Amino acid sequence: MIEKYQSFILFLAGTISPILFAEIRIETSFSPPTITAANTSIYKVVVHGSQQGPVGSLPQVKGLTFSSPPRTLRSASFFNGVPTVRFELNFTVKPQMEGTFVVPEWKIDVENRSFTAPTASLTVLPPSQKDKIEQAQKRQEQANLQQAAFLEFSCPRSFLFQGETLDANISLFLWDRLPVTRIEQIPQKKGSGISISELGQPLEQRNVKRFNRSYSVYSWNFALTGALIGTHQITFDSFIRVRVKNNRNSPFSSPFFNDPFFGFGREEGLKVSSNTLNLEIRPLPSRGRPSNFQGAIGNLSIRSFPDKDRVSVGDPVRLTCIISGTGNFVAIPAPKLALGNDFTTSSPAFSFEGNEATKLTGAQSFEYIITPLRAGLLEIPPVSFSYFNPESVEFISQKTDSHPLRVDPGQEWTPPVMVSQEAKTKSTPRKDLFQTESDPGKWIGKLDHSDPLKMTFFWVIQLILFLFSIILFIIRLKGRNPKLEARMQKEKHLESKLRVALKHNDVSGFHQALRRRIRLRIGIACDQANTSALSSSEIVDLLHSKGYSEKVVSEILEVLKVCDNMQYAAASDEPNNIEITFQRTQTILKKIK
Amino acid sequence: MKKEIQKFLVFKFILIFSSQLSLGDSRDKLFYDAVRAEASGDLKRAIEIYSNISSDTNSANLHANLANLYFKIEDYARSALHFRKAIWIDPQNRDFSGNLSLALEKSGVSLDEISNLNQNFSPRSQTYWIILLTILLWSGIFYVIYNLRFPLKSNTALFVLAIWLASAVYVFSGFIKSRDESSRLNREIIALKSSTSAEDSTAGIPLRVFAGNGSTANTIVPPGTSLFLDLNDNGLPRVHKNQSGEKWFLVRSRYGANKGWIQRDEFDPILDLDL
Repeated sequence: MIEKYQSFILFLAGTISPILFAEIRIETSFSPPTITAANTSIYKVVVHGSQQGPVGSLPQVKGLTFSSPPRTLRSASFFNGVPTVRFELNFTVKPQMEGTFVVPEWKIDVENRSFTAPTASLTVLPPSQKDKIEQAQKRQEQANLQQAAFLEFSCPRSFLFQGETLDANISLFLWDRLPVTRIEQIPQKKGSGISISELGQPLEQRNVKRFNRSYSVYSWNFALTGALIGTHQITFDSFIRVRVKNNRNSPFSSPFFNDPFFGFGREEGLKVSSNTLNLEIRPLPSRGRPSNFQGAIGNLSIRSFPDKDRVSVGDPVRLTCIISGTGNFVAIPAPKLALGNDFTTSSPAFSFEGNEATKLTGAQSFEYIITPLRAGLLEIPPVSFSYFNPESVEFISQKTDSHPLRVDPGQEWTPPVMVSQEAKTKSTPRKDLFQTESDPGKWIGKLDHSDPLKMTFFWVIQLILFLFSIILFIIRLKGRNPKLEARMQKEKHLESKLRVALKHNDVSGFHQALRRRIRLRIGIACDQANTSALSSSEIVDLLHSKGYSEKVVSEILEVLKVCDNMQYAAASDEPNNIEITFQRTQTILKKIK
Repeated sequence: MKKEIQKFLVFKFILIFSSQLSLGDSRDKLFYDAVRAEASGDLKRAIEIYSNISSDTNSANLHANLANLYFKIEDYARSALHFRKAIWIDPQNRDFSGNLSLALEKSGVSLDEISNLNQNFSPRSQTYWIILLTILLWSGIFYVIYNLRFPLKSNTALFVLAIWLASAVYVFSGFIKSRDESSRLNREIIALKSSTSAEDSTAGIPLRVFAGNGSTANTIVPPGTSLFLDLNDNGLPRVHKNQSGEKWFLVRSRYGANKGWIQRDEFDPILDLDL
């Protein structure tokens, strides 16, 4: 048994043993070992005798940047009949300066054994003229790319107070030649300490000139509110999709020199960033701050008015306070009413009129329902309101007018008891929902819904249409003239032939087709089956018999003569002449019907 | 002889015309009587008058007023029924829809239970869909006959055919949908507590296993719930008449989950049906 497999075992041992018990050797090198500053080299670490991944830490060399992770390569081969294996690590190395750089010896572990990777050196020469040109080109490409699509962020001031809201703008400039397929992501704010309102629909402008180029501009106005005190950097990023040439080798960063944007290709995402603005958020001054200041900042004014000036005790009065102007309306709470003991009130209802997106300019209404508690000539006291004006950097207090209210004695008012939400929903609904109508309106008979498919009228209409379609079908069928249709089909075929000949400047073919077409049309017009065999005089007689004018007949004869000359006498004709002949024939043929 | 016939025809016309006028006057008069009765606080009398009028003729305001009265006397199921009738006559009136929601809420009926009120596929729109379908189908047929060209070769003709086909499919589906809604409405009833019943009007209505008072209930639905009459093979409601002359109908809930027998005086249809 053992003898049977002896040769195979020996072969196996001979093949595997050199691999299993091969000596492990480490080699390091740069490929190429000499480069210019603008190029890259490969740092190779080759482990001979093993295919296991080595473990180690690559030393840092000042002036060289190693890419990570490296490319790995495993290989096995026969060398002089001996099997060998190896493992290769390739690091892309980018020089940062000129000079000779040496990667020192470093420890590397393979198959749990420690080895030393030998030194390797790389010489970096000063950049050549070609490198300099390429670098300049790259810089130009980058600049061009930045000019092709960019974001412009503008803010009216470089500082704002904590809680203050400012109107800002972000505009996305897209060069008209840039084949943008869509804006993938509208500008997103980067940076903390400042909050912004939602960006709504952009305002679109066309043909905006910048850098001697024409741009389409998408602008978003938004509100910017300072949240945290300090200086904050704020920038915006957006993503657009552009169509580029389907050429993987052409780097996307060089769109203008290779001009990859035009024509068909694939879509690529392009990040567009804005300029960075440093915005300072300042604290509100504590000096001179009124006690009723509730965080309103801007340039504001307040007014109030009641909806009634005479009520009974217990009747509700709607007092509307309106704060208008420019300011942080989102953060303005309802002013507190100091009503005293004569009135009772509940929480106000809010409503805003103005720019809903930014809530920066407009009027904020607060509707209070106040109820007088005693009869007499009462006075709704003024509503006081304070705000901070960032322009003049001072707190301003305002008061509305007081409003006289005559309250008649009515039924004794009892304060409302707090009712649960469930009880509220079960209470009788609003009165106006169940109004009794005093007029009966339009009377109708039975409440029913007739099926249109069961109506005689419907089927009568269908029958009429059916009969009409049958009649039309018969008329169309009888009216068909297969011979005439065949001739018309043939004429259409000849016309397309004419156009082909015209396109390829085939003078002889053109005139041949033209002659046949004119004769065919005469045949159709004069109901003559075979006009190609007729002589010129017969054609003249035929046309005269159908009442065509002498002018038309002579024009036809002239064109036919030209055709005969060109076809049989092989006279030369210029391509532009056949174009004129074609146009002329079209005009003549329109007259023969 | 001829003159006599003419005289007879003129006399008949005057008779019909005057009877129509007097009928119109009498129902208006009754309506105003009901309004006055309601204003004077006699709600029962007002309901009685309105109900009498509605047995012969209908108007949106009549049913709305009747529904308001039922709402006031807290018979929310009947209120919902008459609001449904009012909405059927005047579907554009938003007040009726709002009031119906409140009445149903009071009855404890989910709003999902009421019919789909999408006007595009409402039962009324069925007529418009069929007119549109007729125009579309016949215009297609006329187009083909006029051209008489098969197979279609020109791209324009193919494009027209594709557009026509897509429109026809869409209009046909709209017609089928509105027809379904129409069929549903013709079977729709509102569960009510019997007016003679001494029980609380908000108590549930049992859908019984068998057509008899002694039978157990499959389920109990709140008054005001929309139910649908089950039809037999002839397309008529499945009905059972017992020895004492009581009529029982087999009904289902909107999505068919609940089913059972219900007595005639425990429901009323929205449309005037011969039951």
